[in-house]
Amino acid sequence: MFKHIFTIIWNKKRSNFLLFLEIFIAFLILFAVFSFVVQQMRNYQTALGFDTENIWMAEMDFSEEEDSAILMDLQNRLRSELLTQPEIESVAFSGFVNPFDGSTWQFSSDDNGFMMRTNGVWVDEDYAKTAGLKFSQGRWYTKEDLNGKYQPVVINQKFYDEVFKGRDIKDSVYTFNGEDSRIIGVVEHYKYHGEFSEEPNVTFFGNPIELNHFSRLHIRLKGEVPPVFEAKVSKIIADVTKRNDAIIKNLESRRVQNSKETWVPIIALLSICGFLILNIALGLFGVLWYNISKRKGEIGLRRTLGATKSEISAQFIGEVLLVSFFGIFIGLFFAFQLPLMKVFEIENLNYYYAMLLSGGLILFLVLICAFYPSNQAAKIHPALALHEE
Amino acid sequence: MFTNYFKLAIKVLGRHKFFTFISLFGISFTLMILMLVTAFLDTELGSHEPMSKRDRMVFLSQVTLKNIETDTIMTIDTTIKNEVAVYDTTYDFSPNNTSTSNSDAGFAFLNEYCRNIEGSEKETFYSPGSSFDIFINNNKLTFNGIYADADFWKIFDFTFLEGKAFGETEVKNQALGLVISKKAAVKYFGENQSYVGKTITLEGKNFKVLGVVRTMQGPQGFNADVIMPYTNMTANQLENHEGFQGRFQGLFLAKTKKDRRIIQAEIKKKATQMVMPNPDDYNVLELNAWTFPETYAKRLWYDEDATKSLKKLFLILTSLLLLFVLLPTLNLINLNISRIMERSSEIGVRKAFGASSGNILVQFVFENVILTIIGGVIGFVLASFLIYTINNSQALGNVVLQFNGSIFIYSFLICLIFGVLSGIIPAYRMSKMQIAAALKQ
Repeated sequence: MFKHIFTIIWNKKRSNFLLFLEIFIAFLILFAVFSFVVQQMRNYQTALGFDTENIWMAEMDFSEEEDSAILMDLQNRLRSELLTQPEIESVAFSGFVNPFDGSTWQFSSDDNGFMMRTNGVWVDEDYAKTAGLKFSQGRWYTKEDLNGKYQPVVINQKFYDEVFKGRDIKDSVYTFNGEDSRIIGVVEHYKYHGEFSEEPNVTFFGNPIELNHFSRLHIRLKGEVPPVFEAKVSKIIADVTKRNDAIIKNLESRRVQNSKETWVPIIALLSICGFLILNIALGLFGVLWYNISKRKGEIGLRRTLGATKSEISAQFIGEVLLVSFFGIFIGLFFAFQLPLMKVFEIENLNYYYAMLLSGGLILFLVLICAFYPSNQAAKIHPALALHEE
Repeated sequence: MFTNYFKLAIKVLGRHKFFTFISLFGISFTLMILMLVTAFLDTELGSHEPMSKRDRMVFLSQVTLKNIETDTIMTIDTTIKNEVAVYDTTYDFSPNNTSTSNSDAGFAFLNEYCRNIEGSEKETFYSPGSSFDIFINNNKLTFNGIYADADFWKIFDFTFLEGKAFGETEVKNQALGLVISKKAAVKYFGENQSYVGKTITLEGKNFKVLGVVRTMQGPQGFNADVIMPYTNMTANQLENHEGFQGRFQGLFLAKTKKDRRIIQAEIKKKATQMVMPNPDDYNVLELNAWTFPETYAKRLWYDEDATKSLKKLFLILTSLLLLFVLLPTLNLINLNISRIMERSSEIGVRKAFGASSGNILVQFVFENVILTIIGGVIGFVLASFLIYTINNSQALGNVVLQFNGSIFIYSFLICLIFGVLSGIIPAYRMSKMQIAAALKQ
């Protein structure tokens, strides 16, 4: 059977070559697009790890204030002043690394006898409840922890799984950023670069590098507030800090904006692909239909010699499938170069998913397009078909 | 003759409506997407206001400080030789980058060292990325601001609707004046005949409107609402950090397109001649200035080397575009080859009456060009409609796609190539057909 189909394909190699080329190119395009989309969507699946709704972030500038006593007093006054507002649930200070800001503070060391690379986030003792972090182990640090002998740190689950799994974290002291530290808690997720980013290894530190480093203020609201309230908060900040340059950002709209930057290319690419697929499907359908109707004589002859209807349609579908398999196979050969050569920063697994998806989609498409014309062909009455010839 | 061909083409199109639909669908959608993509690229990378001189621009926006120490790495290898463990110790000296700091440039640094760069005609130092919260009539506005010097207006070109830009004197006198975009002015003041002379309060300071420009949105995400003299920044904001870093970008306007390379080399050289202020923290300074397209490519990949990023971007874009156009063309060729068979008796008759192969070829290519032109018109209408919808829905944020004449001409050319290409192969095959064989079918 296969030999027979192969002979037929070989005899019509000229028109089959075009079909093959089309499948091959379609596979490459789909593979490229799916690699990107699969990578983004798999990142998207893990939770952000912090709340964005009804959370504001105020950016202030303390860099000119060098007296730590004045600054400490200023921060305390700001905190207590804001907490007197009934609309505000909690507030927390943080450093320069914040959600959706694009800034990173990465460091690596082998001080503990093993290599660890982590991204530092500096946030105070109120941050966990302000941002709504969820814990898989332990707890957040308190004011007492921060004044204790060891620097308390909290890490995220990914960092834990990668480095600390199987190690004792309850009683051991590790060196983080040059200081003796205790890991007191593990949070589930913290994807601070946005929903489509790959989760980094995160370590939370409670003490600012310098006091004026803590110049971002996170405000958790109890619910929706009118725009006037934002002006009020802005006024409070201006009155306490004696500066007018604070900027209030809505974390939820920052999240939407941040995600949109990835949604737009994903939707654009997928709709282009959708159109390409539709285009190919229509073309394929037309060509197959036309070709099969040209081969009525052959069908009639086979039917007279005893071939059943299903054998006829199996033959036509088999022909198209074989050509498509061949196209996909050559496409796979090129596609496999990407994970091997590591040209782009895409996880290998995502490439394999993309291969599976694009190969499967093309085969599915070809099957659908071949099914109707082949069925039509099989229905032809042998006498009628032979008569035409 | 061509009128005949035209009549024939229309007749043939009407004969098999399904096949005509498939062909038109393929052509019009391919052209639509091509037009959309080129419109997007043109908006992002074309020479538009305020960067009409983009081909002569060199941007210095990244000052990299590195601390490179030479580390000694001792490797001990153990091997078993004659049942005795043998140690083989090697020492390896290699430079190790222990920390890196990337930032914009400091104003004082730019002002002192980056004036009169060889190959540069003019330069401007400006600080983008300031934003201001404004609470007005129970509403919140967020304005993006740029602090700039006087030469900024000579390198960037804005269309002034009224008033004018600030000059050297205003900059020197720390004048509280600004130039605002029409959109921002309407948001702040409401619809008005004239805005010049009105006051805007930003960070507690009252700025006077000196000029109103048509738009402050440009290629590469250039986006602002207000632009004011840099002297209004605080001393701390103007200061250098780590000797070189700060909040400013340098933009150099090369005398000619070629001179950009001289400027880039000159700036790179400057970095090696600098004396590091704190060699214990950072001992290496790197200055990299990029051209307009390189800056764009770098934003997409965060590569260290923008020239490499640009090559990568170019390679990916062209190969994707090529594949993208190739696919519908192949589809069309495939379809045409199958369909042209049914015309064999017509060809046989024409040949028998003395038509040459060339005549047949021209006829079929002509038919295909007619088909692609019809498809092109549909594609053009679809693309215009989509661009209108995208701009209206603000799906791309601040990016406003523009549809210009050159895009249309390019697309039309692509359309013709498309038609000729997808017609010529099947037509060539048919024109070579033997008369007897053609007539027999």
